[in-house]
Amino acid sequence: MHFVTITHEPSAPPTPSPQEQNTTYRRPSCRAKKENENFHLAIALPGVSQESLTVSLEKDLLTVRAERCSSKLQTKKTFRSHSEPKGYQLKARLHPDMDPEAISAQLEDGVLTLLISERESARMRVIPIN
Amino acid sequence: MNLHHRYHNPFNVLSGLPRGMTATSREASSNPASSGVGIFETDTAWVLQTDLPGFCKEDVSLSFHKGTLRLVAERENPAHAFQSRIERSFRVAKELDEANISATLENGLLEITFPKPASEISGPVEIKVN
Repeated sequence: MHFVTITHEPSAPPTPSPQEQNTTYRRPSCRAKKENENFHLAIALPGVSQESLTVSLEKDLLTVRAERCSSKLQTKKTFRSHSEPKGYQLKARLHPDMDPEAISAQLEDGVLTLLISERESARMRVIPIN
Repeated sequence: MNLHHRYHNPFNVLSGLPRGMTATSREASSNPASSGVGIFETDTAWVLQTDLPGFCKEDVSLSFHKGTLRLVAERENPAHAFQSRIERSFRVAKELDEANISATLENGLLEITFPKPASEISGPVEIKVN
């Protein structure tokens, strides 16, 4: 079910080379599912702390931007980089059935979970038979 | 212990890395748990970094035997539907201070530190004058 549409910024640069990725923002991996009257959106943000994470909503456009914390160790030489990005950025347009007023977010073990309620008007109603 | 000097990289990957060392951003974002491994050197240690989003300290088991580091991360019924089990082995082809290998897992980012033996530590050594 496609209830979240990931948007691409028109001005976004082309996919960077692995060398360039150390200084750029990568689109994080995410999983979405619907459970009862809630939509769950899980976003993988390894290396991100709560202080370096911003989640914002403008009309129906959800933006997640996070800075990745690099190692506190003083690096002398890098043998193999896992194309570590500077951070993550995700823009997602909410489905009309989602209530933008009822969103909660939780960051745990490098995974951001957004819980978005379904609009009252979109919920299934049982119509009584007279 | 066998000293492996190719590219002076202290680690040989045995298994579990699906081309993760050269993962493109697309591969990395489609599967956050296989987004590769970063290896770097400091003055006193070699450091191996890997992303484990969604895993906590209790889910991860690390062992080192005969020059091979084994990493198993497993969690039951992950709510976010990311990978629930990761198993990787790395052969360490450098002499190191085995007794003092340490690891931290913070915000889904695992960092394993392999201290260098005294013979590998370059640079001036301070000699105490008694």
